[in-house]
Amino acid sequence: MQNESRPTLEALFEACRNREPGAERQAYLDGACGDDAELRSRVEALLASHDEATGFLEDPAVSVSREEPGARIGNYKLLQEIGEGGMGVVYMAEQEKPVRRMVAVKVIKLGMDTKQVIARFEAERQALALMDHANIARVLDAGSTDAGRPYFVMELVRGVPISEYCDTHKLATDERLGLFVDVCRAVQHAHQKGIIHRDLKPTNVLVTSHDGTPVPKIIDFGVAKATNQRLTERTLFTEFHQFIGTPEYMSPEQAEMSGLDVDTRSDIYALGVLLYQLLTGTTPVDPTDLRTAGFEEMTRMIREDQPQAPSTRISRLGADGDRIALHRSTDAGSLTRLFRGDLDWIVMKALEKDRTRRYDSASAFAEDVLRHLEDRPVEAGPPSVVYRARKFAHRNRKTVAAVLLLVLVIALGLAGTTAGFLSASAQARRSGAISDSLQDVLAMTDPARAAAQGDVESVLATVREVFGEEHATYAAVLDTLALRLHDAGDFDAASELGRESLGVWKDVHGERHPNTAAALARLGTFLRAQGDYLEAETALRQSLAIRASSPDASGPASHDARIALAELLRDRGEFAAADELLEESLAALRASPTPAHARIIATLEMRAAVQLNIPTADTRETLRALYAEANGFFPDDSPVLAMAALGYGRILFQEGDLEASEPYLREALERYRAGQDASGFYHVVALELVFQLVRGREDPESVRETDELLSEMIRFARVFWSVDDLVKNQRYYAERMVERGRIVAALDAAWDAYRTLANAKRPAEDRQSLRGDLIELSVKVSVDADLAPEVFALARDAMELARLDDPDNAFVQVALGAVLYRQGELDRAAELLDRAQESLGDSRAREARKVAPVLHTFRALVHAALGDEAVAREQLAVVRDALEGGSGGEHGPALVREVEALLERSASSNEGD
Amino acid sequence: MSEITNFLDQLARGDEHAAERLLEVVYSELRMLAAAKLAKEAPGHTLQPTALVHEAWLRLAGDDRRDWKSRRYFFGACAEAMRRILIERARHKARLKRGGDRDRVELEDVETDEPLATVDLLALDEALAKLTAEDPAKAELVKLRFFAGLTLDQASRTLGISPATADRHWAYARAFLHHEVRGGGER
Repeated sequence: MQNESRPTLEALFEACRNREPGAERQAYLDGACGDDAELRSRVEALLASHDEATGFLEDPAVSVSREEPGARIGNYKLLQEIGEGGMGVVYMAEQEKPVRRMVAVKVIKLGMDTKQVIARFEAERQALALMDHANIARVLDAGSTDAGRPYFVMELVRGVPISEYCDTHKLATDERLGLFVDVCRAVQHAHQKGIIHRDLKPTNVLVTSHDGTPVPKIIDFGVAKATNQRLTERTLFTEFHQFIGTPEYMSPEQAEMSGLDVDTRSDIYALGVLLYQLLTGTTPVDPTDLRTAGFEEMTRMIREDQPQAPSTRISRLGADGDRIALHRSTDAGSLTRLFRGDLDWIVMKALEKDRTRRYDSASAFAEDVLRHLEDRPVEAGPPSVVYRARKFAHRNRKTVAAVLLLVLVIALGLAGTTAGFLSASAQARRSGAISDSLQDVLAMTDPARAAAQGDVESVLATVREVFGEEHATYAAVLDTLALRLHDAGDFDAASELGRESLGVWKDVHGERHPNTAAALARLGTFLRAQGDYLEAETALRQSLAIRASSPDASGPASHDARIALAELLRDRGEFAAADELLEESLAALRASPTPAHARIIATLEMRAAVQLNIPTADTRETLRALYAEANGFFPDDSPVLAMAALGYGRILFQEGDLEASEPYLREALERYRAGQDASGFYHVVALELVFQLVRGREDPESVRETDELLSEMIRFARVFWSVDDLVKNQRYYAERMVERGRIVAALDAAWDAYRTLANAKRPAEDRQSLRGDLIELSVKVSVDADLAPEVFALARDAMELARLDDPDNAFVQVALGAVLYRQGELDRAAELLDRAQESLGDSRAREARKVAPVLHTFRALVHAALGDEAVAREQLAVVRDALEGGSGGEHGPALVREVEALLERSASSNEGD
Repeated sequence: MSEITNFLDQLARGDEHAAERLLEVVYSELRMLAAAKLAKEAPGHTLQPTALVHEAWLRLAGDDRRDWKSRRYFFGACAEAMRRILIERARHKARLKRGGDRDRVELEDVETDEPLATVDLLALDEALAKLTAEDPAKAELVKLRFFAGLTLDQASRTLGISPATADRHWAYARAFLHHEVRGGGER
């Protein structure tokens, strides 16, 4: 008896658990159990337990690691994971009440004290509500999940971290500074409302693109404070990482364990780290060093280690420096020169260990950056160690300058050497060395640009006195000063000194000496900056002519002159001439016994950009060379490799050589998928191209791949595509899924499209045809009783919403009725189906005839389940007739069997195993 | 730590013998982690099972080992190990209530946040034993969900059953266990 009844017990339980307790279940059990009282009481006991047990064992002893998409938290439905940080996982979610909109929900990872987190958030809620700034994402809400973990709801920002944005778009330093000023202003706004961020870092500053203009947005305001990150001695190292996430942005006072209050100046420090990273591509303290240090050592490094100035950092990075410079559309040498002075000082002032010496507000920080951008003297001075040296030097300026120069001359062994002693190239090297060292000396003795003119005079006077006006050292000093003036933006003065220096070099070495060539090249650069293109071109061409006959023809100095000339020609629109020069440059670079790959790559990139303006140019060959060159030079995971493959593949594609383009486009796609830029803009571009290649093919493998590519595009392109493009592709995907017979996936995609339109607040009419698709798919889903409950829930959501849009539509009623039947909501199902029957009646319309078998079948099912046998049998007869007439559809026979089984009161219904 | 990777590989090849050794290693690792936490935490702090299991996973298998086959074995072992640790502790507590040696402070003395408050673990364990005898597949599902913290979806993939079946099994098993724990099964 027991063995026999056990499966029945389970099947009965299953059949009843989704029916409402009370009359509905009783009626069912009356029929199913007959007079087996024991079976009946066992089922009822189990069902009673089932009804009571909501929540029982649902919270695991070991709580789940994360929420799954589809889960619901409060009023929010999680749609997809969009990020994961040290503190938690971020989801894109849909808010349903009071307004329907997309938001970001951040669920905090580990068991913090949820009550305290929420209380701290509540304490700051009013202040947070006062923040209203275009560059700040609003924090909307906070609460705790069913599992007891705190979560925060924020405005959804579809952007990428600022550092990543700047690198992928190769923003030059000035553009980066512009973005940074926006960030400072937003932080200032928050500070004025009394809100401190406490966790500023690139991943919390996202950049979105509005009509091509980058707009930074700061996220997570108020979150760090609520999750209170102050360190205590007890805090374990691992927890430290989990809660803080990124120690490289932490201010010394935050790393200190004294419990000193964190204030706005900690945010200033973090902004300083952010600027450092935007400029140099590295953080002041090396993250690897930090992570491999012990806890004590780590906090000590943050509190005490003096970071290198940005210019020093770039110059010490070697090949990495060139790589970083490429992301800034320049080269490492220019970056070093650009940073030396203003930018070094600005960054180092923000990074002062002593917070009283930092900028006292974010706006003061922003102002100083703007001063630099507008070539006005900045407020920041040299960093603290140098500061003291400068004080001394200031008091004894002339003496010190002279002493330093003499020390230098002796140290370099220059004293007593004359032109005749050294070979020309050795002299050039010497001069370069003097110049570089002088620059360092001057960086220390030159407090700010305001005083520069005075310094120039005093240093020149000293040098003239010591060496006389006709000496190479005098020329080297002139060059150094000219470069500094150029870097400082005083191009007129730079050109003037450049001319004087050229005169001295000519006197000392003659017209055709490498030093004369170098002086001409420098003068050309200054003149170009000044806007005197004609004279600049003459100077640069003369410099190149001198070098052409020297052994130094393929050296870096010649290269720089050629690039400067090419840029000049490009800016004037003389693309063909620029191209020719770049070709020469490449030949010279490649001829070198030790080719400088970073330079070759930068030159190839510039050449490809120039060639796009020349219809007859072989841009394809340039991009091929770039691809080949980059592959030997960059590490395998570098985004540049993906870019190179995409560039070459795309031009092959555009030129119609589809077959050749395919491997490169696929390589690019794979690299984007695997790399840090996954889900970025170029990932989508690569996807689109591969999609275009594959979509026309008809073999099963390609068809399957097309489906997958389309789905991947939809997933990643949300951020980039317009609503119409997105919907068009979602519908196309739904169509393809119907062709594949994958109804559930089709329903999913169509529903996605429907919500995209609804979220974009498009009028209901725009959704009409999509509604038709959804009705058809929901009906198709309903005829298959074996589908998972989530599928029916999805179809129901869709149909409930369709009904709101169009309440009297009989087809919606049929579809919703069928789905409700599958969900066990018999009464409402019967009501809807009966009403549909009334309004469709005996209509001969094509649509009505199409839906008739479904309508009759589900009316039969629902009435059979409700015990209304007469109606059920009558409907069944109609369905059978239709089946015999050959219009029952593929699921017809199965559905008829389902009805018959119900009518025969068989307990093992279709829902059993 | 390569030890555990070996076990996982052996299991993947179908070496059933490795399962018991895997369990031993996971068990002792979890206990060790718990003890280490205790030594560093101030008294009165609570033990977080989540952190324990995830740390164990990281330490034992390495972060990059994410294929489901290994996870299946690992979480199976984890569920069993967690169950043993929690039951052990619950028994110890029950003994203390009856008057045990109060002075010894060990793992068993540490409060856990959730499970002890809401579920009578000892009763649950008995009920689970009964369910295992009747229907081992359903009992396995419960262990994966309750002790290893898998979602229903993850558990269904681990066991190789459809989500619909998992949902059915879960509802039945839960009703069964709830009924048993409340003493309904005895009478």
